[in-house]
Amino acid sequence: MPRPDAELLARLLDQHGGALALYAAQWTDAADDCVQEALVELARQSAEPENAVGWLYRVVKHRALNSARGNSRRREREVEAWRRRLVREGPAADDRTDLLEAVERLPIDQRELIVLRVWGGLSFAEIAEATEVATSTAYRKYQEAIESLRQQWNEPCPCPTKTPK
Amino acid sequence: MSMSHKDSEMNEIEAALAAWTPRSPQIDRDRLMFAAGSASHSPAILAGRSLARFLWPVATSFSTAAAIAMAFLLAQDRAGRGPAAEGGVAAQPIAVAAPPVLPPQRSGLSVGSTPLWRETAPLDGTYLALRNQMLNTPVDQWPIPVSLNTDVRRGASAIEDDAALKPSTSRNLLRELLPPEPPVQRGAEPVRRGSPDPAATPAAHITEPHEAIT
Repeated sequence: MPRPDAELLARLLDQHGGALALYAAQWTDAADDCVQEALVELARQSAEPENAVGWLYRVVKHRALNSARGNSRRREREVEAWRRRLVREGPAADDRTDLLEAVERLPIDQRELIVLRVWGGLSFAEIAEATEVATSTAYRKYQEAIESLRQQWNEPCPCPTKTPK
Repeated sequence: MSMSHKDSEMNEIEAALAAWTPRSPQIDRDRLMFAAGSASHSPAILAGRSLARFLWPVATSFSTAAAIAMAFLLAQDRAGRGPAAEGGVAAQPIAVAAPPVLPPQRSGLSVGSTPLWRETAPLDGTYLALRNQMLNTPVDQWPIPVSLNTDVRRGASAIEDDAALKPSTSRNLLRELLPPEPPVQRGAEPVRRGSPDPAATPAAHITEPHEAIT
């Protein structure tokens, strides 16, 4: 395999920069630094990894976990920061913020699969490389996450209905 | 709920989530490329590249040198053992006619009136046949070969002849050593053959007792 060059780094940054930062933002508020360090780490490799995209997401996750280690108070800020990284495209009438809140309530191992699949556009092989699990396991967990979202989406609103006096 | 309905609902959820897009990270591209370039030329990376570059030539050179050294040692070892140990042309066995198979003979040189030596002596005179015969015969009964017997007899007869030719008396010895005398003429000086100077030869001294004896 050839060495990673500047062209590869630029392409990965353009295609996956936003998703990488969103992925890192699940654990840390210094997501941009994690992405940059991961890209520099990729440039340091003597040969391009076989699955460069999956490798990059995995390194970003490790960097984010190291950055967030020992500071549990950041948890609330991280969730808020993660949500701020998503921007809505399209008409405001289709704003499904309830669905996004459902994603926020998912366990972290299921939510990261949603991030990788939906916003990262990774295949299940790349997801398996990033999360260091088997491809079948990644697929099964992703289906479980979607099923969990579907159940939350279809359940009636827990808000109390206003009854006329 | 059917599977297709579930899949369509899953796709609907995915499509709804895909309506949001992640924001681009706040990364300075030039700074990132500079950092990546510096990292790719770090001393550790260069050391790893140089090691990978020189690993195969060094390994190849080492194995070649080892092969040459082993070949040299092998050649020296074969030269020390000599040509017979090399298994070459010199070590090939010489074609020798198979020796005649002799019946086992425990002892005795003769069967009946015919000597065994004559019976078992190989006509071709090969070494192996002679060796087998010697091994099958006790040492004290080894026959004397004809040629050796002849030589011994010839030597004995020569000794006997020498004893017969030996002069029994001093006179005979002198007669044997001295030439025969010519007939002596009266009044004439006896002529001696040999050296004209009687003083130059010891025979002049010998003539006196010879004449005295005669």
